[in-house]
Amino acid sequence: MSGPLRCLLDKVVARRIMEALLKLASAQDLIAEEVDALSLYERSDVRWLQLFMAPPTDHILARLVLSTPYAPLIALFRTRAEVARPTRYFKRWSRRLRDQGFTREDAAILALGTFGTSPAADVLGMHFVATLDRPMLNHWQTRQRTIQERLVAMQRQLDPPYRDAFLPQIRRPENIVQETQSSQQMLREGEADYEV
Amino acid sequence: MEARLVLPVSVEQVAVVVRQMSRADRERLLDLVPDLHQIARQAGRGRLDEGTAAVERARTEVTQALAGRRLSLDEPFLGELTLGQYLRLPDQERGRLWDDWGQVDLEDLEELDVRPAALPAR
Repeated sequence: MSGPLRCLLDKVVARRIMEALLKLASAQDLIAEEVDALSLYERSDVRWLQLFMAPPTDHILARLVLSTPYAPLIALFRTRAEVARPTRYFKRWSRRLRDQGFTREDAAILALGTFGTSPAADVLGMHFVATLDRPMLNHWQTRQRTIQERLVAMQRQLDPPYRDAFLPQIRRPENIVQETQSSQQMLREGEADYEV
Repeated sequence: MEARLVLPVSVEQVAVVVRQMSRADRERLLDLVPDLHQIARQAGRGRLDEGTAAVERARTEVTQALAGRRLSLDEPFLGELTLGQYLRLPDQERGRLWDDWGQVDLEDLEELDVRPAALPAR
């Protein structure tokens, strides 16, 4: 792997983070899911984990930032989460996922995890999609093998770099925190061995 | 060296089966695999520590971003609601509002071409 791990926040996880920031700013208590989402948000940094939000989330933030009191919080959120943009083949893959029984909205988020990029268009796809949607998660897990086969079949017709697209791992925020901690630990140990 | 069994199905598929089990069957599973108790306890403790630290870091960042000022719950939010009214809504209702406010259909967006050397997510 080169470059940081990339994680796309689905709409609910992004909302949980934003609501957590609003609650901290107004001295309110957080619920467990907000703490888990905030833990993921706080894990992000340039070297290890890069967060992305979907365009609909960015659209809401753009409305909220017009209100002066919230502008600093929106700016804070945007320092850690870039907007993911659909790449070529996004729509085709989204249709394939709908054929596997995902709703239009779920299929679009999952497709953005494979055929999504940064504003600089220098990456292809995400390593993780963070979600709290248990039914979608279960459906993904049961259909994953078939989905993988469909992606491989579609990739045969594509040119590089799209031919190298991967399926993201669909995880709850707390699982991504654990998994990125383990990866980071392993990489650090590898670096220490190399230095020795 | 410990011999490890290669599962014929993925851990995710095992998890789907476990989630469909009755409580009695899950308790029986814990009796049969006592290691799970210890792993769950350790993971729970770690998560709590991680969560507490994350909240404190975020609280500091928020305080700095707002220059020490606290947001009033009477502050106008979106959709003619105050912040307090919004935060007090049931989760389902807040989710519905976000659906309304974030009306961008991803399918309507233009597809971009990534750079030839774009990094795949391997």
